[in-house]
Amino acid sequence: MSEISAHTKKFQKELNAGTSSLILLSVLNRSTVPMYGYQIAKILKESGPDIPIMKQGTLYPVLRSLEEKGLLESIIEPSISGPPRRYYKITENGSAAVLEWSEVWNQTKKFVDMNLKG
Amino acid sequence: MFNTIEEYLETLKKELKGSDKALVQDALADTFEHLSLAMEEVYKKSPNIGNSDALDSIISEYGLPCEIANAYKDIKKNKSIFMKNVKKPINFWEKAISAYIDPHTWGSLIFMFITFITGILYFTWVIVGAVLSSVLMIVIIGIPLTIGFIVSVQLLAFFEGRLIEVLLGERMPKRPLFIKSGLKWGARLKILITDKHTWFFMIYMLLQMPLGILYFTMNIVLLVCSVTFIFAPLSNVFSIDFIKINSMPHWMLYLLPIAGIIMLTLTMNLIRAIGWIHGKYAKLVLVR
Repeated sequence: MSEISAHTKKFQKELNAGTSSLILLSVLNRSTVPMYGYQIAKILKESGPDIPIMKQGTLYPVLRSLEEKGLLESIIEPSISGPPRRYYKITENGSAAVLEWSEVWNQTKKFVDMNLKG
Repeated sequence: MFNTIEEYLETLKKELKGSDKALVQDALADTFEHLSLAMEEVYKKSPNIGNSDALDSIISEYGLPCEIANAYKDIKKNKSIFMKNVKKPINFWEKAISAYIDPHTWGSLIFMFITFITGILYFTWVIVGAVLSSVLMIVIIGIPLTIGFIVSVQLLAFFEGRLIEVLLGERMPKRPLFIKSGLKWGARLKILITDKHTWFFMIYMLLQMPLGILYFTMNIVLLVCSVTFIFAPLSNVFSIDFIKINSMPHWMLYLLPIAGIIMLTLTMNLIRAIGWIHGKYAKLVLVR
């Protein structure tokens, strides 16, 4: 791997560390029913099939972390065809966080765009 | 690269070597859930696809074991909601007195009182279940009954783990154990019986009853004595005879509160220490 792509990869990873929480919260905020990890991963894949921004497997620890912070809650339900599934749903604090974080994101995006354009 | 999900999980386990046991189990459970569902979907779309080809396409999106292991390692060490923002005491006295405001102490106290009840329930459940299962094993109903009993023990162990994580702040597994679907009753029973953790769970549950009684008695005796000593001088004010020690000089009554405060502080520290030890012991027995 070239040095540039390694840097790019690191940059992408650092960006993902913050944005993945916002993305997951907003997906669950839009959903009317609790969702399990694989469903969320599929929705994200469909929303940007050609943008390989984050590995699906890295979403799960973020979901757990959001639950620890009280922004999500989860229940485990057995499945007839496979292993038990962990269903996540957003909490009131989580919904409030989506609003606040979206605002922060919009400001950041605007600021970055302005500087990129020069 | 990988022929089966189990191979992938093995590699992931190796990558996570040295990490918290509960974190490893969370990672393996999440991965197993995702890969199983993805495989199911791939087979629905292309029934003739090979196992390793199917897995390769899934893993390219899911991530390699090293990437997944790093993602889990990056999560900050999980603590119970009770345990956040607790200032670490610096010296011996601060550490001793901090027991009063340390959420670990109060979590541990609640856990010990709950153990008094759950201990009796677990003990009764295990004894009744084990006796019924063994007696009915000679008839056909015995096998599903035994499976049901063992699964119930595993679910109770899972519940106990949640209780410990919330009240004692020790990380525990976050989902019940899973056995592949589609197996025959006999094969399921064999897996459950030969799993050493089934027996660990049962021993843990049997021991919870004597432990629960011990915790309850110890807490009641120590707390009641401490509080009684602290408020001993009031017995003079209100002319109550509940602490009447013959031959004890009158002035000594006013020293009792000091003894009571020391005793209460020692009790609170003992409760915190037992909670910590119980958390470690439970993790050793209940987490795979």
